[in-house]
Amino acid sequence: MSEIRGNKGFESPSQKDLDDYLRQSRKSITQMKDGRPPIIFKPKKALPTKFLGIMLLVVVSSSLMLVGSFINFDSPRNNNNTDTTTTVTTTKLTTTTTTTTQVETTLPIDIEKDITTSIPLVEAFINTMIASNHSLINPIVINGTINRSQTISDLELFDLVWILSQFDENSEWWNLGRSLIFEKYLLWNKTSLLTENLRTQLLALRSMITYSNDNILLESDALESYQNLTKQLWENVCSAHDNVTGTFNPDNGTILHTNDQILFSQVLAKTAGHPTLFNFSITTEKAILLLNTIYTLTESTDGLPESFDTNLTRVSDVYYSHHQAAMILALDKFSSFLGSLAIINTLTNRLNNFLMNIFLQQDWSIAFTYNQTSHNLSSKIVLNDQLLFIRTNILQNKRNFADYTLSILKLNFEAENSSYFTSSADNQTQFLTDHVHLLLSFEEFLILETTITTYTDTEATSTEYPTGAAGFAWEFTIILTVLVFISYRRRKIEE
Amino acid sequence: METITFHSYRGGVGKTLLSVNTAVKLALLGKKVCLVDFDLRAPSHQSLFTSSSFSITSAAKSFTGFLVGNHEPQKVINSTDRENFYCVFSDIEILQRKESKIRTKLTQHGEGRILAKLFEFVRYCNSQKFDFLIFDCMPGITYRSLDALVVSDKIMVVTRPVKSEISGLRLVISECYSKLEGAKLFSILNQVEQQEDLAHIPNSLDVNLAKENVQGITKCLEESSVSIPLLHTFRRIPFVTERIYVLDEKDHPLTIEIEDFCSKIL
Ligand SMILES: Nc1ncnc2c1ncn2[C@@H]1O[C@H](COP(=O)(O)OP(=O)(O)OP(=O)(O)O)[C@@H](O)[C@H]1O
Ligand SMILES: [Mg+2]
Repeated sequence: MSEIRGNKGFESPSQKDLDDYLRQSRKSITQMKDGRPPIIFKPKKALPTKFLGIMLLVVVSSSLMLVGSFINFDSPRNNNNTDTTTTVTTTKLTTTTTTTTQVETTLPIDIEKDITTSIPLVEAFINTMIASNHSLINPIVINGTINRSQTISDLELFDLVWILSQFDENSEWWNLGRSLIFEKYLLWNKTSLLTENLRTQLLALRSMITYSNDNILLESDALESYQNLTKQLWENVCSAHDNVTGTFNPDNGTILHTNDQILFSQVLAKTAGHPTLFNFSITTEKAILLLNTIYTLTESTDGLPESFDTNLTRVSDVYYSHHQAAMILALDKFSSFLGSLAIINTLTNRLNNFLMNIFLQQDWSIAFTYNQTSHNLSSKIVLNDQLLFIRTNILQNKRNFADYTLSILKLNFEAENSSYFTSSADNQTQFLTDHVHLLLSFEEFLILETTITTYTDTEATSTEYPTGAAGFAWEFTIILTVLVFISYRRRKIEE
Repeated sequence: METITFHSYRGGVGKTLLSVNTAVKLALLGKKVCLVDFDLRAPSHQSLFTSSSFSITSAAKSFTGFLVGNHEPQKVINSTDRENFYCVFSDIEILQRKESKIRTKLTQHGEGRILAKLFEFVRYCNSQKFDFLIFDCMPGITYRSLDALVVSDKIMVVTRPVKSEISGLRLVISECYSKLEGAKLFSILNQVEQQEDLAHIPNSLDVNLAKENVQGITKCLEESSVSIPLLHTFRRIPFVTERIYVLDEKDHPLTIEIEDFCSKIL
């Protein structure tokens, strides 16, 4: 009986939290009854005190660090002093670390295994594709059995470069993207791009801009032609904006296609972060205009906007789930470059809700069972969707969803055997990039894992810290600053 | 479909005994019933049902797993050898994973996600043409019991006539029940000493106390700011244990009382 069995962690809200919770719950239920997504609401935390506490600790530790740097450690007179300080601070650090360790979830073992066994497969595939003997334009043979004859298209290459650029800077994959654009394919020599359609221009612009701050570029003779082409492309793309209607109106008088909106968002997020090539204020202005357009487009008119629409004929104004996911990722980049604009947060929340609704839908699994015959979608786009889901979920720390999506993905791999890698009569352009995307998801997933392990490691070794008060205080300060930053960002996201 | 939650401020008042027997009885009366063990922290239905003459004809997943997004609603409903009766079990496996984030989500605020899942389940049952969805809720005011209260059409507030219940009831009314909009509240007074039993109590002080407590609870309900009509008074039945009496003990006093109670619900 509960009187004696304890609470097992089930939290009882305070009176105020209870009122709040009931109010929000009612609202959410009303919304769900109308067929709209549920409201995701966070508890109103008493953060200020915690926040102030952390700030205080930062100040204390900074001054400690200052004091520490004045102390002469060789002088025996001061030794006692330092020791005491160190002990006290160590205790504090341990407590702080412990409270931040609660991010752990157990990763299903088989998925972990799947990740590690899949990576070499993907790597082998990509390596064959881009091997120096020009395999990109030749039939592919892996393990002597798999073959796929396809020439890599410009579009695929642009996509590939861009995805590669999202790996950690200077990582192997990131460098691969760099060498593709600067050494192998010399994108900036392709002036023909200027006569291409908007989509191709956006794709080209996006992949060029991602490496625009690179030293290789800045020091090379190619800088000028690179800049020229990029600028030209930029102007072409920007002229797609219709000043009269306030929307983007590139060609044929239609609104910018959803895919192009996302591409453009990715370009803008990147340029806003790297003002070397372009005027920052122009970028911001464009970004806000674009965001406004998307905001209007995603506004629900009759309840829930179509997220999974079986009728795939509408293109420009429908945000399918993979669009939502991609846009959430783009918005995340936006907010880290442009700062927290209300519209970014609102839009992110809105898209999150749509996506969440898909996850919560009774039959959300249809999202993963589209097939070529019943819908005009190839299994590869579905794979891409799944990858976007995984990445969005990782971004938002929704581990159980990420796990789930990953396990579905794993099932698909098993079900279709190696057809993801073998399909020969394939003329889709998403093929290669899907695999890199997959790799990226795995990486992000593993990084998430490693971060958690690192936390635990810190905790375990924290008792061995006293190596010198000044050095220690430095580390302490850094850890606390990170904590402050994290809680600050969390709060921002919550708003 | 009607969603009914059995709730109480304190534990051990008889929610499980009454909700299980009521649910089974309703099914025996021809209603399509789904009973959910929503005492997430101390689930008991699985053992209760497996030790009864019932036979569970499926091996469904746990409701706890459903709430955190592991399973689809149709995967958690057990069918039984009674055509109309379905039950849903919880387990504490997830809760035992000490530091899991899922656990935090489940036991704490939950950001409205657990609520959304619960609502999804209610909606699913509705689509499956159930007549009654019955939650045997965990006691007290936790975020999860609030979820169950919020999605319910009717709430059965179970109390028993002991001194501490009176203050507890007053508290839960003012803090929680009075804030619920939409759901109809009813009270059930359980384990009340019958007049003839009182005659056997040796100490007259205890007799008076027993009477006073019943009066205290009744008064508390009458004074409540929201209407919580007393739907039924169950007498204290000696030697009652955790069993499904309505199933094959037609003459058992509890069976008779439950039948009476069900007629009030229908
Ligand atoms: N009317 C009654 N007469 C006699 N005993 C009863 C009566 N109702 C319940 N009991 C007994 O009281 C005990 C507690 O009942 P039960 O487990 O149903 O309460 P509960 O409210 O579900 O408790 P918890 O909050 O711990 O889940 C059980 O042993 C049950 O048999
Ligand atoms: Mg119980």
